[in-house]
Amino acid sequence: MSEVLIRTEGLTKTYPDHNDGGEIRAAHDVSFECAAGEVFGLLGLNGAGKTTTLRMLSTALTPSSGTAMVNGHDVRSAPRDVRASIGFLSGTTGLYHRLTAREMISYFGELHGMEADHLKSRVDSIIDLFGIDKYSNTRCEKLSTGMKQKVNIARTVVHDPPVLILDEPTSGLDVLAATTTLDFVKGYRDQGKCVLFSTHIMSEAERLCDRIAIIHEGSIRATGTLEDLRSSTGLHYLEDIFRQVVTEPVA
Amino acid sequence: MNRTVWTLVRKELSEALRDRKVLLMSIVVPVAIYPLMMGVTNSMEKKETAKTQAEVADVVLTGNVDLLLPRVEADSTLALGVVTVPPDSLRSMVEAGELDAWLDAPDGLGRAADGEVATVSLYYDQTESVSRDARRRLEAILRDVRDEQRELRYEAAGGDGRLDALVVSGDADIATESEATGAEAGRMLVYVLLMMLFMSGANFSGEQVAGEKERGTLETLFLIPAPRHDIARAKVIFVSFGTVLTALLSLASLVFTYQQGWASQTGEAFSFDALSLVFITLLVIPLAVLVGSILLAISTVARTLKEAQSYLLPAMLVVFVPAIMSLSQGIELKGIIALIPVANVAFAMRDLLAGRVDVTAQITVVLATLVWAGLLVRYVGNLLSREEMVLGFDPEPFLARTPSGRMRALQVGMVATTVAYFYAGNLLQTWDLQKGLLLSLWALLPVLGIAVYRVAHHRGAFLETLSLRLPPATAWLAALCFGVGLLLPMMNGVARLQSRVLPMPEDAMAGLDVLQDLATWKLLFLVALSPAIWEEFVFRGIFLGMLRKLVSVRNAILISSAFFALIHLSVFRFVPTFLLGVVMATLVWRSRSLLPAVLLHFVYNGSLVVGSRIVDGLGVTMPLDGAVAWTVSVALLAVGALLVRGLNPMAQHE
Repeated sequence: MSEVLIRTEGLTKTYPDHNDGGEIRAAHDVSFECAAGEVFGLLGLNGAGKTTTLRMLSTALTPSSGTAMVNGHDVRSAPRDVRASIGFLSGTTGLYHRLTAREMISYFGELHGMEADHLKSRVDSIIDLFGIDKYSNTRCEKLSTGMKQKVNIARTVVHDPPVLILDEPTSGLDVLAATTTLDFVKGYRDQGKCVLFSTHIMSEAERLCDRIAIIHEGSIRATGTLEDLRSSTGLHYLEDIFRQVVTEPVA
Repeated sequence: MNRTVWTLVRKELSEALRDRKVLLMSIVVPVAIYPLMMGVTNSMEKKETAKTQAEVADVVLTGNVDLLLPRVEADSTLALGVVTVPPDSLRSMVEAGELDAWLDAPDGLGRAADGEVATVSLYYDQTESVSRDARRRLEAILRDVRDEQRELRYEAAGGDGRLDALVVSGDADIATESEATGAEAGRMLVYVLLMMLFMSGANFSGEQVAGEKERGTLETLFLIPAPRHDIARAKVIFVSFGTVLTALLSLASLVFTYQQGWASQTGEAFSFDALSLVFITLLVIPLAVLVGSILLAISTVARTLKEAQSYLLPAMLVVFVPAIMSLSQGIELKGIIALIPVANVAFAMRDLLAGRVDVTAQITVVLATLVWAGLLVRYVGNLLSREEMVLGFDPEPFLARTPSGRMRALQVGMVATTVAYFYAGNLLQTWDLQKGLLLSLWALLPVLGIAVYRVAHHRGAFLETLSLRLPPATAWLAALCFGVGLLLPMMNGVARLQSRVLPMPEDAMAGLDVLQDLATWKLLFLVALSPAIWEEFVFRGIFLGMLRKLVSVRNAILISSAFFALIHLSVFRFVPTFLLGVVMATLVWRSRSLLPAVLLHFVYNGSLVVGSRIVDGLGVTMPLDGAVAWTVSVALLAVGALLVRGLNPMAQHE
């Protein structure tokens, strides 16, 4: 088995509940592993705890308890090393309006500490890869949604991170832009990178993910390949599997 | 500046330079505002003057006016009235507009000896153009007379006399101070500047945090491998760049406008002297940085651009209202005023423009401004580090029922208690020392303490928090030892040591002399028993008890003692009171009871009262500095310390 790049154990995030002095569990006892060359899908409804989990992995939120290692770094003790190892993209990620596509990409390369010479050639090749050379000198505010998404992905991977974390990256995109994103994810996985992918769209998970974790009400209810899930539930379609898993009483 | 910060600043600058709104508000407006403002005011005033010059002003002269009379009569714009009313009512006639100006010359006018100065009073209404014009004419006449007199005397003295001002005109403006000041555009410099700093800075800061939250770029920015404080620093540098640029441009524009003579009706050029300019620049730059930090803090607190904009006006009001105080010439730039953010700069600027330069005060203002800006930058950094920034909601509001929320509530409560007790207590005691002392100790202090207990959502029973239980016998003994043993070291040692650093002014203690006439038992009740009960109730009871649930014992003792010391009269007694607080808090902790501390406090204060009574009554000098007294004190303290050491803070004594 390839190297495990993301490992979480008992990852939990709670917020104080100001109504009754108790706690709200946004994520509870989340444990999974994700290896290089793998797309791991977190499948869940809105509010299931997907974003919270991913944000803990990206160090934007601090776990209330449990541990998470990304590329060998602890999210709590080495958050900067974790951030240097990941590319993070969500459906709501925006661009700087008054920067051009090229400036946007190289800005994030610079912020990730890339040296000028290396950065220049990397930006050139990435612009080429995503086919954005025609509008690379256009300000981001003037780009279409699909173009923006490409620039956003380019920005996410400019520093060539070993781990890619995508939080519902296709939400709000049209079919073409969404397809671009999904194709990119496959390609990135094939380069031997580790991709963690959250979605509530069953077809995306079915098509893309090597392994799937079904998350509901803050905790993971089932994990495995699509085949594993099929055999354990006796159902064929992911939608049916999902419905059964989330309605099962928790053991 | 590290590389990340520089990269962040550079990107923000290049984005800002592509924004026409920013260019307009930060470069064009600051450059154009003074020539425009003054040009328009001037041309309007010129028209007005032309109009009023046709009007004849009614003036009266009183006193020794022989020298002035021919000239006034010769002036066709002045109509000399005959005084038919008592001089007292002339002033009110000027105020009512029935008269345009009244000049009262002293007997000495034109007869003053060498080196003396004759003061002429000139009453006019600054708000009336005819009256202002009359003033101008009369002053010109006074100047002519002065010059003429000088020449005469110079000749009379054989060309060897003193050339000092023999006649000097003074004037009394009848319009209210603020009206008069409002007429002087130069004094408004700081307000126009502030307005521009806010306007220009808001364009820089709005796009920063609030704008980034809205566009969804903030979370991405947080994922760069750099600390959030670096991001805060970069943003402050960028916003301050904008405000400093605006400030310098508008200052240059102002100086240029004056130099070109656009600011004066006669087209007279006016040059600022170099030193004032240096000082003004030194004031303006930190002010711009502070405004930049304020704006960035607003942008960080706000969730959206719109919210940030809605905070802008209230923030400007909060900043402007204290600054307006500087319009009153009666309030001086000293003490706490030099520390009030923004307002202190308004005061400093006012004094600079008036040619009053108090270097210490000016430097204090610059330093205070920088400290405020620094604190705000830290605050922004801390805010950015909070999860609220990513979540879009605050998982832990300021006064949340969580340990850190309770700690914040307690801190705010303790600060509020200190401020309220200090000022309200002072007020009460100025009104009536005895009743004031009683009220502050028996009502104000416990009410404040209980309010803090309520607000801070403390968990745990009230009596438990207070440590209201019987202590072991040794604790009483320890309290006695400390109460007596501490007297000498405190009075002669610590207090004296501190007085070298920060000498206590005489009047800080003067108030207590009034109490010397009281009967001993009353005095004991007032200054020994009452404080012993209520100060212990609040500081060693409520505050220490609450702190102990939130921080380590050591920190709880230090923090509660620091507030105890702060609340006491003045900074001049800080060190002794703090040490006393530490001893009493330690005693409460070790004995698990508040009562020994009450005893200690009572014995300590009481000994002072009784001691002073003995000195007064018997006329003897207490052997307070002798070797015997010191030996006894040290021995008592040692015994007290051993007794406290023997106490077990975990044991159940009940």
